[in-house]
Amino acid sequence: MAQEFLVGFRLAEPPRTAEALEAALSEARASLEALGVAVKGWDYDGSERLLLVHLRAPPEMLERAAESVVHILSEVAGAEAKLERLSREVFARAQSVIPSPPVAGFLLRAAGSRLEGYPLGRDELLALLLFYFAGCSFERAILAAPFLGLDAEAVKAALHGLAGKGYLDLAAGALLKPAERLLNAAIPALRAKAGRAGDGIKVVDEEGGVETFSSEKLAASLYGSGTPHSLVPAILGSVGASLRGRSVVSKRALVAMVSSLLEDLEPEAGAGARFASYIYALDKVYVRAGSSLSKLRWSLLRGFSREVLGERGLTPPPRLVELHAELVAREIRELASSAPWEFEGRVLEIEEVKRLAELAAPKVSVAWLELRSTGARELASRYWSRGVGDVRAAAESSDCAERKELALRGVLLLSSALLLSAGTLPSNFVGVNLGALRSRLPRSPGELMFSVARFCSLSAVVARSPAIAAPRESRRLAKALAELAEVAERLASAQRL
Amino acid sequence: MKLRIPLGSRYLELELTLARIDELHPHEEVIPEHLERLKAAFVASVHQRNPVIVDSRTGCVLDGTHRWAAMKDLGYKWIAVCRVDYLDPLVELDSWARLYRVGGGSDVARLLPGFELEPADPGRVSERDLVVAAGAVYRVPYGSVWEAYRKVREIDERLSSLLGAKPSYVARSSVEGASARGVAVLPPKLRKEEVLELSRKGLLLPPKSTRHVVPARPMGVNVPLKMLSGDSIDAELFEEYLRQKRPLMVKPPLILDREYGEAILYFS
Repeated sequence: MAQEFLVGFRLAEPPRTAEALEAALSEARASLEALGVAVKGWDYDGSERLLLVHLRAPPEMLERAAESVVHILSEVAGAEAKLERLSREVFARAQSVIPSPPVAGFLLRAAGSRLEGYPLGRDELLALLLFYFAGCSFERAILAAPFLGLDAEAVKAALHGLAGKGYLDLAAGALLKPAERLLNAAIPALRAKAGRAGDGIKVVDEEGGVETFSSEKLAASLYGSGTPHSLVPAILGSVGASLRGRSVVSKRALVAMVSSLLEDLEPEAGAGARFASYIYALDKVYVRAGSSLSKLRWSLLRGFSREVLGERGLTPPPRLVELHAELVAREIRELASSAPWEFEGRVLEIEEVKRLAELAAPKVSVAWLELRSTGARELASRYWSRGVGDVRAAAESSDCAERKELALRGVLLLSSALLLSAGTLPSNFVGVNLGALRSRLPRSPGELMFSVARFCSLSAVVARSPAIAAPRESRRLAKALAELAEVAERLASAQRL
Repeated sequence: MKLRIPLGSRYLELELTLARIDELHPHEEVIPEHLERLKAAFVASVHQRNPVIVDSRTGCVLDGTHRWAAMKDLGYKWIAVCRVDYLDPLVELDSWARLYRVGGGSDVARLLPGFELEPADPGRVSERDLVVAAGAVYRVPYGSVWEAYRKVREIDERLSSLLGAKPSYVARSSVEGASARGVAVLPPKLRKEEVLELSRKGLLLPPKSTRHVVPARPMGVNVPLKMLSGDSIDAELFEEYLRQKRPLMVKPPLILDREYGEAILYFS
């Protein structure tokens, strides 16, 4: 079982630069992940030349982790270090006081809200949330309170009150049934919900192509066209209100609506014209290859994307090609609409488009970049061991948001490793990877197919689980993670990873 | 920021805040070489790493006299402090015994001529006695604790010069019996009220007189020195600065620059 420790290293000489130390610790963080060891923080006391590293690790891995840090400090920062005895057992036991940033943020937001309509008073509900997210530790809850803007004395009194009402067992550090029921209802209700007005409406373009309206895409286009950021929320709100009750809207109407809103809000900036120019920029871009000139179409862009992403000898999944082409298109739009009043048409050399495509590739697939210097098999193996380490660390994390983050990263790495070993280029997105894996299922042998299918559905459960989890949701994720670790083991032996 | 540290069934209240450097007062003298080293370290640093521990009622510096003096000398107007109720029984006060290594036998009367030394029965020595032990045990009579500690300083100076070495310091409460292979000087155990009274009067005890054990202390707070150099401070800003820290509770003992026997709230 992983526990938290403070590990000390005495440096023979001060590090050359603070950046060198930072880089070494960052390298150590990545390298220790494969051992199931998480570097949670570090602090360097220059006057004592003492580096303190906060690790969460299974105790039996500490020696190895410490050796690894010493090695990396020497390799990356050029700093010779030796393990320092911080307690009688060398490694000092430590415990984080504050929950992870997403959980702390949730508690800060809860503390700022009125929390009405619950069977408990505001202070009691806040104390209950704090106790639950502090791993049901009374001591941690009291210590963490002032860091979340809560009065420790009031939290203490509220927790004793809750124990008296049968919500908590303070001695056992446990929630009782009424508290679990309340948290199962309150936490999902307190989680933020994005207003997505207009989402789901069909947008039909000039050529009859249909896509679904998305506020995110509209926001990205607004930012891309150089619309002042302060105007974006107002535009999204107005467009959402205008689309209410409709099931379909034409692209032209949508662009007109946004342009007129921009003209109303920022008449002197020419933002309306700039936006329209940005949206239709691709219509005025031509690509020259030798003596031939072609209009830039989506099919051409997808072709470039497929070619560039396929340079490493692995097949890029269609969704990854799509995402990449959209990114390249955004770059070209920005380039082409930078001066709309002068812009009539623009000819891009094919090399320029390819250069943009290469620059965009790591944004959708970091593996594409890593494969430049590493073989697919080696990278798959590296991803696999890091992914297994992350899933293992996630299963042992008591902080729900940290567990989700580790689990998601683990799933991303494991799915990437599986795709690499199947000759497919992985993406930076869990959803894309799982889609690509699923599409390969019919071609896999029976036993492997079953394991990959189970891996995909468990990974989807993990990916969709909320970071700020109620007790019931937390148990569901824990169960999925435990099974995911078993499936990963089966897959590792089948794939020889 | 007010912290409540649960310690079993009890709580220690600490307040991490900024204090005007002039409003604090020490109770011990500084060691000049140590002070100069610390001043050089502050000049090279951008942070006050650890807060000074002070009594919340009187502003008496309980732990961190050298840091306080170094920052005062360097012209800082403010200092990060951890206020604690000194009279809380959870805060313990002990004294530091001095242990001198002496080759061969040691005759206290020969080492300390001119000092009034009363042979004493080791079993009947009280913690309020000033004791010198080297095989045999001697009580050094004194009138007031101030006088007792002046005698401790004289004995220290005498033995250090005679033996050519500084003593090692250990908690008086941990010294058992008389040392046959060296000289042990056991200053009388002070009362908290006496420490506060001497400090209030500006009567400073020699360095390494008191040994305070606060059962939990914040460390690694790293308060930017630029926050402490102005004439005024923004308390709310400082509180918010602290709130973004992610402290660790480290169980004792923790060995850093020395061994800390208390729980450490480490603001990494």
